[in-house]
Amino acid sequence: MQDTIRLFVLELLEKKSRLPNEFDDTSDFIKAGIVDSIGIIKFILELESRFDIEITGTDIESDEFRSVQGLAGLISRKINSVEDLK
Amino acid sequence: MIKTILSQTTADATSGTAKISPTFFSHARHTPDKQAIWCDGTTASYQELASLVCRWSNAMAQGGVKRGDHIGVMLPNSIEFAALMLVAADLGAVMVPLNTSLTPSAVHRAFEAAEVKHVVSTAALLKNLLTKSTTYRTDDSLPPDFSIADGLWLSVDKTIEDATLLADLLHGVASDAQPLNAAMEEDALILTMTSGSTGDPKPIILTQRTKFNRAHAAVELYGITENDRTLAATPLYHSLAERLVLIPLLTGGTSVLMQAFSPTAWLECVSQQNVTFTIAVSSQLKLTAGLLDDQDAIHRYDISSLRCIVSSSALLEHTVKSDLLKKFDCELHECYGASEIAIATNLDSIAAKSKLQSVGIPAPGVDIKIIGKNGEVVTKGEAGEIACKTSMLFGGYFKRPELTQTAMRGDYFRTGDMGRVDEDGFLYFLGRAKDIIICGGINIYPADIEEVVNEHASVLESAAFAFPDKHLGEVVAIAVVPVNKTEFNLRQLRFHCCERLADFQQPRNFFIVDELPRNSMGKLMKFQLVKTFSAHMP
Repeated sequence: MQDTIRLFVLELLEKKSRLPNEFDDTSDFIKAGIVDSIGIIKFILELESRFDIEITGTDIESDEFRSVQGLAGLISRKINSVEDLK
Repeated sequence: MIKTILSQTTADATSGTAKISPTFFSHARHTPDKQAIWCDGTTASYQELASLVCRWSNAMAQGGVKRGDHIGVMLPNSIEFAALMLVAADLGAVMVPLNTSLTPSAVHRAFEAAEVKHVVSTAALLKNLLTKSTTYRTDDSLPPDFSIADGLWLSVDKTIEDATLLADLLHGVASDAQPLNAAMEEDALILTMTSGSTGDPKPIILTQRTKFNRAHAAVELYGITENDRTLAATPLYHSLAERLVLIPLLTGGTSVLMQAFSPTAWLECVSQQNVTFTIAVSSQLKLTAGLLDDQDAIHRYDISSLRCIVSSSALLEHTVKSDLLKKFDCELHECYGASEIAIATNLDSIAAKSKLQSVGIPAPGVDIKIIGKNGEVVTKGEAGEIACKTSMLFGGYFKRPELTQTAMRGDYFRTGDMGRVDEDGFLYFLGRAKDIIICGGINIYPADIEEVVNEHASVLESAAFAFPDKHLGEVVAIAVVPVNKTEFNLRQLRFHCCERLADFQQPRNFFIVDELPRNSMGKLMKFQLVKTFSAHMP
């Protein structure tokens, strides 16, 4: 599952901007300006819609939200916690 | 035949002989017994209306009203109001029609701004102005002093202290009084307040020639003849209804005038009065189309007399436009314009099939230019301010030459609206220039956002506006009227926006409201939304 999430996040980022050569799963895409303050709302909604989760203000402020690896982990946990509730 | 009379007279207008009252009286001579006007059960033939106008005009002159004098008019839609337009046209006087729901203080300000000397109204409204104990706005320290209007005060219906009763005034004039024909073509006929969507009403001068040309343009554009029964269902203090009453009276047709609009009353009126033509406010058409969802209503009202309907005043969402095309089995036009220029563009039913989101091509005799940020004319497809050259142009803002000058670019009136013209010459309205939302330096057109939001099944209507943002300057906020407030799911709407709008266009703030603030013409008062939701934000 985490790999599906990772690929989806990467696809989203690539849609927003051409990723730098040195970009990897730990790179900070916020700092790199790939997701900026204009694009962040749509980015969040795309993630929420695709994985049926809710991303909070705290999530957005967290370090996890800055890299593909971190974000994939965060989304995965949210999906699992939703599954656990079912 | 009579259409030809107006066409010829209008053609003469360019050489300086077009006047409203002689054209009306000419029809009265040709078809004295024909019904000139119907208003909520009361009617007048051309002869009866002409007689009233002549007597009233002569009586006003005897009562001290002179050519060029300004007459404040606060009347409900009525035959008297229609007659008074022709009286002013005959006298060369200037009507200043005002909203009947204004507070005395607001009326006073309007009288002052428009230099009103005489007043014509109903006893009830006059009493409201003249009674010293009347309520007035709390921001004024003193009750308004109406001695600034030191001419004739006329009550059209009942006797009231400090005012003359119309019947008494007419009593002193012979029943066979003749028209005065005192006006010149370039005389102002109406000083109209803009409908207020900008929050800063400005008196607009409409000359006899302007009013005449506007009626003529509608006749040409919509093929109006003496056989048409033209419905006016908006208040006569606004230029649209004034035009809708003048069109039939200048073409020998019949004016059908409603006192107040409701979708049911509109359908009843169309059905019972065999209305053939009307220009309606888009929100009225939207409401009426909604009523026609009900099969019973379709069978109850026979609206087959309708030959042509025009939607005006505010942009029709294209989903509503398709709905109207299905429900009204007649020509459907949408026009774009402003009080200063009347009709600028027209979209007919045929063009609507392929250019549904457009507001059409320039009306005959109108030229449109799209002006860029630096005043340059932009290329096709590019957005900019809509500027318009037309024979229907207003006569300027009253006593505000600097404002008139700012509004003009040579012969072109700057509308303050944003738009773009496609490769086929069709205009697309993008919103008021001042309503544009600038997010991180990117221009966002509210119409683009509203169109997408309105597409969602849970949304009845919406209005996008600027919301302050400390990083981006402004972001998109949207006021949404849900179809059903309890079942409304904001998350689903946000996903819909995510799917259909670009990242910079995403609304950040959603305000769920019961209704959008609109003025009496159904025009959205976006500044009210900004004031309510955005103005106090950091």
